[in-house]
Amino acid sequence: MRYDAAIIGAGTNGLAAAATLARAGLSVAVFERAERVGGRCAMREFHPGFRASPFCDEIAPIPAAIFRALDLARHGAIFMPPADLAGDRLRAAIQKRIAAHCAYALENAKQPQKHDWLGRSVGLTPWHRDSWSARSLSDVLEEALPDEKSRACALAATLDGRTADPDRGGSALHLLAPRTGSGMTMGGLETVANALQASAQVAGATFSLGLEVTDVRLAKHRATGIRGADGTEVEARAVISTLDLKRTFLALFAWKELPEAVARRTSAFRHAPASARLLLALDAPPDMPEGPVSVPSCSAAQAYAAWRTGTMPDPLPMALRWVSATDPRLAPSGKAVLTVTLGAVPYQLFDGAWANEKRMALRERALAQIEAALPGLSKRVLAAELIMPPDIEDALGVTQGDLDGGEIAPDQMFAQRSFAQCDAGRTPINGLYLGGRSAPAGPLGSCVAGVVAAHAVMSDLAGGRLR
Amino acid sequence: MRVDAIVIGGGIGGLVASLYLRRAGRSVLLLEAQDTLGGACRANPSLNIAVGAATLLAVDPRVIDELDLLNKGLTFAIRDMPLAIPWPSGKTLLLGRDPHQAAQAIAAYSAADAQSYKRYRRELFGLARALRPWWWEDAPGPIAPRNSRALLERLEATSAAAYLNGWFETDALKAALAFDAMAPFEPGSALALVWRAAQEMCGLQGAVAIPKGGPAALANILVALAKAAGVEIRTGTSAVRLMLDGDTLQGVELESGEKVFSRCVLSSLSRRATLLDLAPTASAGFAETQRLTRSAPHSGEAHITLLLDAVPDSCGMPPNARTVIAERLDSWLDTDSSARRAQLPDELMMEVVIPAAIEPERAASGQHAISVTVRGLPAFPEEGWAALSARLAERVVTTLEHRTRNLRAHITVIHFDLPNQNMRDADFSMSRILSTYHPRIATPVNGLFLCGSAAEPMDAVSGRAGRLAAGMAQRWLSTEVAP
Repeated sequence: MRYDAAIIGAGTNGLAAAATLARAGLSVAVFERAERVGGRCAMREFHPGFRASPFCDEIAPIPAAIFRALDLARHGAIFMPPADLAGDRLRAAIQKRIAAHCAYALENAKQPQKHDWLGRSVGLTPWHRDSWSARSLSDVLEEALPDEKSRACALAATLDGRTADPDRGGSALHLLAPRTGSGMTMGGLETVANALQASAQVAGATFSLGLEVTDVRLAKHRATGIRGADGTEVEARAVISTLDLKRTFLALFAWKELPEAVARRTSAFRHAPASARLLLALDAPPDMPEGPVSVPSCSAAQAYAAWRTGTMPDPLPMALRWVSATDPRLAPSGKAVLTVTLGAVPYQLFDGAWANEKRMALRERALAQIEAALPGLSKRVLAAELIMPPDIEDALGVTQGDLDGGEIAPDQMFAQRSFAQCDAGRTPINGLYLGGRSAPAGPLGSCVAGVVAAHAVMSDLAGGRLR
Repeated sequence: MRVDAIVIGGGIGGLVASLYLRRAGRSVLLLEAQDTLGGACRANPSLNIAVGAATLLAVDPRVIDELDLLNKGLTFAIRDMPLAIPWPSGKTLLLGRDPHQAAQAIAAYSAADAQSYKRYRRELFGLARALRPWWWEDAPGPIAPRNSRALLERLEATSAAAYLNGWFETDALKAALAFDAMAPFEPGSALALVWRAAQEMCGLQGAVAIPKGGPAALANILVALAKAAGVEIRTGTSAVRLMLDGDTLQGVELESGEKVFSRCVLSSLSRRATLLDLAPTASAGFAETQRLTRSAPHSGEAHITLLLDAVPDSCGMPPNARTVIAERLDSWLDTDSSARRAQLPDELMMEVVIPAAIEPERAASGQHAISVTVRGLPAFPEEGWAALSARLAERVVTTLEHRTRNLRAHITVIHFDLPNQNMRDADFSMSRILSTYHPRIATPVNGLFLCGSAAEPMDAVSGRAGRLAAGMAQRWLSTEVAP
C-alpha cells in the first residue's frame, strides 16, 4: 500500500504530525525505533518502584491551538501549572513572541507554495525579524527584571540543561527556544505521548514500533518511501523525518546522493549538547520545596568557557527537582524521586570519551555538591543513575545528545534553521520534510514543528506537488 | 567668536568635512585636542613615524577624486597588500589578489580549502558589489538581485566564524581571515567581511593600500589643503560642552572657557561621547541615552610601532604583506571573554606590516619600522593601560620572536597607540552596519552631526562620513532660521 505520509520517529513532533494528518483523512504510517512511543517523554523504572522520565521533567509548552486541535485533553494529557521562574513581564514578552512566531509558521505552512520558472519558491512572506536575534541574554534580562536575584534565577532557568555565553549577541534567543514550561503532567510525561498516540490512532494512523528506518528511497531526486532495518519497504508520497538535520541526512541517505548544498549545510550545522541528568531514588522525602531548586554554581559565562574546552565547570550548574512531590505515583509511598539536571556537560571531555571512572567521578562530585546545598540528603539516596550526553544520543537518536536539535544561535534559528531557502520544514529534496527540533519551528515549542510539517505536506498534496 | 560650522576632531573625517564645508563657502573652525592632526593617521613628529593605522583600506574614492588628492601629492606605494598567514609548520601562506594563484598556494596545505577559496571569494565579492551602494551612498535604493537578498538575510544572522567554518577546514586559514571581521563570533559579523570586500582602494575591490610616506601622508595632504582653503585650525584645544537652546545648537564652549557660536557642529567623536559627554544631559532623549550607556565597547585595538636599527635576517614575515598572526579560530572566543573581564588575553591576535617599500629613505638611514595592530584588547583593563602597556609590549615582542630570531636586540623605540574609546560606540553592531549613512550621521540635536569613524558602518579611516556629513550640514545651514 502507498501511504500519503510516512513519519520517522514517534516523539511528540512525530505523533502530532501523524495526528494532524490522520485527522485530515490522510493515510499515515509512523515508524519508531524504540518499542514505545514518546521519545524524550518516555519514562523508565530506574530502581524498583521508582519511576522518572530520564531526559526531562517537563517539555516545552504545546501551543493552545495545537492542544485543542488534536483534542489532547480528552485523550488524557493533563498538565499542571508550570513553576513560575521568570518575572511576569518577561514571561508575557516571551510568550507573545513565541506565539507570534508559531502563528507565522503555521500560517505559512498552510499557504500553497508557488514557484517561479527556475523552481525557486516565491511569494512567501519572509519570517519577520526578531529583535532578540541580535541581543544578548543578560541584556534582555537586565532590561526586564530589576533585581539581581530574579535575573540569576531566570538565567539559570533559561539555560537549564544547556549552555551559552549570556553576554554574546543572539543568546537571548534561548528565551524563545524553551525546553521546559509545559508544567508537569499527571501520571508522568508518557501520558502526553499516549494522548498524542491515541489522538492519531483514533483517526486511523498506523504505528510500526521497534522498526528502525535506515533509508529514505529516492527516485528522480524526490523521496518516495522508506526502507526499514528488517528490509520492509513502504511507499509514501511524503516523508516527514523528526530526526535532527544531521541524523536525517547522514543516517537516511548515502552521502553521494545528496545535492552539494544539502551536504554543505548539514556538515556546517552545529550542535551544542550540554545536558546530563542524575536520577535519585530517596528513602525519605527531602527537605526542599517542590519546584526546581538551583544549587549555587559558577557563572554562566565560566560554565560556557569550560564546556567549550571540554572540561567540567566547577561548581557544576545544576537544578534539582523533587518530582514525586508533584506526582506521588512516581515513587512508593513515603519515598521520593529527585531529578537533577546538569548543565554545561560536554559531549566528550578534552581527554577522551566519558569512560566509566570519569562518570563515577562526576556522579560523586554532583552528589557532594547536592549534599552541601541540602545537608543530609546523600544518606537517603537508595540509587542514583547518571545519564550523560552519549547516553541520550543512544537512547533518543539525537546527534551528540543535543535535545535542542541544533545550537540555538541567530544563524540557526527561524528562517535560517536547517535550510534558509525552504520554509515550513521543507527540504531541498522534494517530498522530504523536517518535523523535529531541527526544523525552523522546532525550538518554539512541543509539537509545533510536527504540525507545521504536516500542514506543509497537506498543502503540497493539495497543490499537486506530490503526486 | 562666530563661525558657520565647528568641526570637533582633526582626523581624516573631520578634515574632509571641513574641506567640503569650506568649498561650499562656509567659515569653519577645526578643533583638535591633540597637538598633531590626522587622528588615526597622525604621525609622531619627534620620531617621524606614523603611529596609528599602518594601512588604508576604505578611503572613499570620491573624496580622493573630488579633492583631487592624487594631483596634490598622494601616491600609493603599495596598491594591494597580500595577506600572509604563518602556517603552524613554519612556512608562510601568501594570499594575493588573484584567486587562482591564492587557491594554488592553499592547495599545498589543503585541496578542499583551495577549491572553496575561489568560491568563497566569488560569493563574498559578488555580494559586496551588490551591497556597495548601501555602504557608499547617502540614500541607497533596494538591493536588487534576489540571490544577494537571500544571502544577505543569511549573513545578517551569521557570525564570521560560522561563515568561515562553513567554507574552510584549516584552522589557521579561518583564524587569519576572521581577523578582518573585528569580532568574528558576534552574530552578523560575517557582514563585516562583506563590508571589507565592498571597499575600494586604487580602483581595486577589497584592496589594502599604503600611500607613499604611510597613512600620515594622506593626513598631511588634507591638512595642507585645509590650511590653504582657509579653515581655521586650533590644535591642543578641546571642546568641553555643547551650548544648546532647546534642541537647537548655539555653539561650543572650549576648555579655556571661550565660547564659539555656530549653528552647526560636526563631531568626530563617537555618538556616545558626543551625546553623553559633550551635549547637555538628556539632550539625546531617555531611550537613546539608555541605549548608549549600555552599548559601551569592551574591547579595542592597539597600534604598536617598533623602530629597529636593522631588519633581522630570518624574518618570517614577508615585507610588503600584512601578516596575520592568529593561530586558531576559537582563540577569538577566549580573546573576547578576556576583554570582557578586562584582562589581557592569553593569545594575541595581531596583524604585522613591515612597510619596507614605502620609506626607502628611512631604510637607507638604517631605521626600520614594524607596525603591529593588536585586536581584542580590553578597552578598560583592570590595572589601567599605563601599567599594562609594558606587559603588552613584552608579549608582542615575544610573539614576534617566534618568527624572527634576535628581534629584541634591534629594537630602539616602541611606540604605543592605545585603544581610544571616545571614537567608538561598540565593537560590532548589526544595526550600525545595516543602517544607511543618514541615521548614523544625524543626531537628535538639530545642527549636530557625526563625521568620524563612528558614523561609518565599521570603524575605519574613510572620509566618507565626513563628506556626507558636510553635505548634510550644508543643507542644514542653508535652511532659513526662524526669527
